[in-house]
Amino acid sequence: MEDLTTTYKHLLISPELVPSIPAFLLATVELLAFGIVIGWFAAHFAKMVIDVEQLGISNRNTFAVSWAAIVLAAAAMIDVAVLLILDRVPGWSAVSPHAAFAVIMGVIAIVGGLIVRSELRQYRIYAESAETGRLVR
Amino acid sequence: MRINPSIVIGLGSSGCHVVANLERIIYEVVGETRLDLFRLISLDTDTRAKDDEPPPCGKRSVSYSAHSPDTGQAIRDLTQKLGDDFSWCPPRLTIEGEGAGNLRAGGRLLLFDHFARILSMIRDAALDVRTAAMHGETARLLHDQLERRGIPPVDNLIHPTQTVVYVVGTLAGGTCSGMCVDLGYAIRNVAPEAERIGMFLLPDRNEAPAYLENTWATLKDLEYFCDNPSSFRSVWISEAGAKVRYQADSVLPYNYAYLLSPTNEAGVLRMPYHASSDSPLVVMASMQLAACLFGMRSHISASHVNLQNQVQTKPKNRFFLNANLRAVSYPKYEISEGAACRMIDEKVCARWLNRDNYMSTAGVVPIDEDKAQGVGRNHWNDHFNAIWEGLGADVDIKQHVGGFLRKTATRPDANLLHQITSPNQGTIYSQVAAKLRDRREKLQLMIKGGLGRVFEDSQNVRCAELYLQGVKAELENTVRFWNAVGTPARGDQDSWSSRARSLVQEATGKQRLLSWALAAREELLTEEFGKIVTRLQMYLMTQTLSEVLAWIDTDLTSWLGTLRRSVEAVQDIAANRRRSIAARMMEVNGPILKIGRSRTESLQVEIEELGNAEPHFDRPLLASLDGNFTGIFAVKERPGPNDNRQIFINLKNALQPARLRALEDKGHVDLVTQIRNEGRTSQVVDHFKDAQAMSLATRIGLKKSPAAVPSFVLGVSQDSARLIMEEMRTVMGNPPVAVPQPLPMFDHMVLFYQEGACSVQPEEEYQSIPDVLSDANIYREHFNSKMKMQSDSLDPLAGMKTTASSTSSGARQ
Repeated sequence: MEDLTTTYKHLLISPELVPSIPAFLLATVELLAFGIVIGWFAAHFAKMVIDVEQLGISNRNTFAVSWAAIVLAAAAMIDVAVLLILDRVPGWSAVSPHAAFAVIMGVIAIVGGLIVRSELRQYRIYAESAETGRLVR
Repeated sequence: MRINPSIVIGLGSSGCHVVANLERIIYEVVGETRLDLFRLISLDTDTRAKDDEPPPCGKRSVSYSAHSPDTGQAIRDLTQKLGDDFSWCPPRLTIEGEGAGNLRAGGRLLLFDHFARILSMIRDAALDVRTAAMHGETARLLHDQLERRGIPPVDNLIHPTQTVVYVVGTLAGGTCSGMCVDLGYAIRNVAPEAERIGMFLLPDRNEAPAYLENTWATLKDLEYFCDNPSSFRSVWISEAGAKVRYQADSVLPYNYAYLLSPTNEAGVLRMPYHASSDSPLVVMASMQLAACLFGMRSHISASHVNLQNQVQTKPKNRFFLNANLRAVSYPKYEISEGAACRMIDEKVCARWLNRDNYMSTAGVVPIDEDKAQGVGRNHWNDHFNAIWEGLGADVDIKQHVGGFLRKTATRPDANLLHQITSPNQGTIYSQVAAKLRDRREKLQLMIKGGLGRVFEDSQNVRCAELYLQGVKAELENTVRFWNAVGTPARGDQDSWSSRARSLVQEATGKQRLLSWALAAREELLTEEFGKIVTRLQMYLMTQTLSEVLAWIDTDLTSWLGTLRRSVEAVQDIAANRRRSIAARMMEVNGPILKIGRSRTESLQVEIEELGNAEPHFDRPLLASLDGNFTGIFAVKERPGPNDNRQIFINLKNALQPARLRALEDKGHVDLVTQIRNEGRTSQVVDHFKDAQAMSLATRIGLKKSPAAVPSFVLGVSQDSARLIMEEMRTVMGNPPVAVPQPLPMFDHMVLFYQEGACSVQPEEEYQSIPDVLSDANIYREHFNSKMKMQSDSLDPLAGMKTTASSTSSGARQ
């Protein structure tokens, strides 16, 4: 447990230069594992906040995950910014896991958003096609 | 003047026309006041619909159809019950055509077949009018009527013990000619105290031979029973089915029999007859009856005392009488009717048919097609969802989700697929399918309900058509949307099964991990199962929507077309009626001469002004109640031949009373002054002379001196009658020979009434009353030639006459 705490202190408070790709991958996975735990809480919070009447259950779930991903990506970028201000970044490779994490979260958020948008758009197209008489099949 | 409790029995089609017209006159006199002192009975054997219109207060006469569809069966039944007492009826009597087939034996047969009910009706009527006569409420109603006319209360206005029964009909057909003799005695049997008055119309000499034969045969029968008052005997059937033996006890068939013909004493056609309540002869007969009901009978009875003194030779000289009547009238009824027709034409039908505007509470509003269609669209969108949701109301999705999550079935996916594709009992599919019929009915109810509201709000057929277009457009949108989301056509079970499989896979596999992670698995499955049920509903409901669409396109659209055509037809009827009323107003040859309210304001102008009012109806003309259209314009999908006329009558009856009241509120019309002001005294004199020229042509002339028979000028008061006689003197030179009499209930009329007695003296050439008729030879020839061929159907009372003759001759021997 102490090792885990030490590992995340290193990663989030005083990152060190990443010497190799395996070390980068390991650090990114560690961040993702941490992000999943935090993201779970964030998604739950989002699930409670989002209006289910507007989106439906599945879209709400997707949207909650997207929202959590955005929150995590933003948190990662804020951490990098704080570390830079405190001059705790010895080199760019030290925050490369943060960047990878933020990109992954961003992709998750974008994909989720696109899924929700696509579903909503599909129903709007159905309704409009019914109005205009042009069938969409 | 006293008013008698009275019963009027119209026999046959002509009698029914007289009763219908009498009802109208009674309405004109007392309005909607219900006077139980009078009972009107229409007794006909002809079941065909007549064009008689009830007055605005509704039909108050009782109609009885003495029709027997199977004459042969009726003869067999009566033969079984009466045995030899029914031998008068030809055993092979066949009635061709409607009614009694112009056969006297047919008329008598139908009377016998319905005797118990007819007699019971007359007995009840006699009891009712006597009871009403003794009831203070009746006197109060009559006094109210007099008070409305500014006349002080009259003591003993009602003569409670002297009931009068009038029997009216033509002797030409089979019904009255076959029934009248028996009926006269039957009335005597059930109401011995009642005075019985026959009023019989005679046909013109140019009518069909059968009419002339029947007339002659009946006149001879009536005369025979006057000459042999104890000869009449008959066996009828009581209500209990027992034989009722009747033997006349030296009484005549009626106290008096008035013979009325279309010609005057000189044989000139004055009052033509046709089978309609507005035929001049029918109008005259009904006017005479109306005047008698409202008091003229008491004047006549007083005068008949003189007749008894002057004509003492034979009972038949006092029995057969002629009467003639003419009126000068301010035509309240026609003016109010014309005004109502104008409103129907120009303010009701025209608005309902208008394609550009409709009437709202704010006034005339142009029809905006998009807005009117929007009403239909909005109605669909506001109500469809509730009906649609009800389709899956019986499906418990939570239970199915619970079962799925607990894996109660070995293969939950397959079980769910079975639930939504199998029509077996208990499946989701069957639960939804079971609701389809109910949903269709609810949709139809919803659409009709909206249509009813559009009718109530706009009172316009075009708005209803546009509403329906709006509903149809939204319905088609719904179907298109369902198609767009991949709903298979109803009946394509394979496509549905395939679609259902993919829906189940999609639903059960969706966000399996994510929903578990977010603790929303049950919630998600509930939504996904709901979506599957929704798709199932769409699949099953497509046919229902197609059916509703077809129903709109065929039933509802065609019904709207029928409604439009009906309203157009009603408009035509109203316009034609208005024109015919206008033409009648100008007539000077009919039994009623019409006089206006003022010199400057013609009757036509008065109609136009009275018809300017806005129509008001107590209930909407068309509304929807529980899926049925109600109101006057609730036409049937397949209207009958008389339906449009009935709509017109209903509209007229709804509008006319208010018009009549408005007319009466303008005040009493002083007819004498108006006649003088309009310079119509000579026309009035012509009418008086017409009345004195009688309505029957005879070879020896009729006694019509006021000293012998009733000869009256009747006004609202005796003074008023004197004034009109004074006015007539200015044209005639001499005062008119008639007695002025009051008839206060007829405050809008002056009546000229003349009776004539046909007295044959022993020393005169003619010993028989029928023989003195100018047309006697024609009647007799037809009768004799018919008797040679077929006597039994023309002379059903021959048995009584033969036996009586042989008895009397035997006695002489």
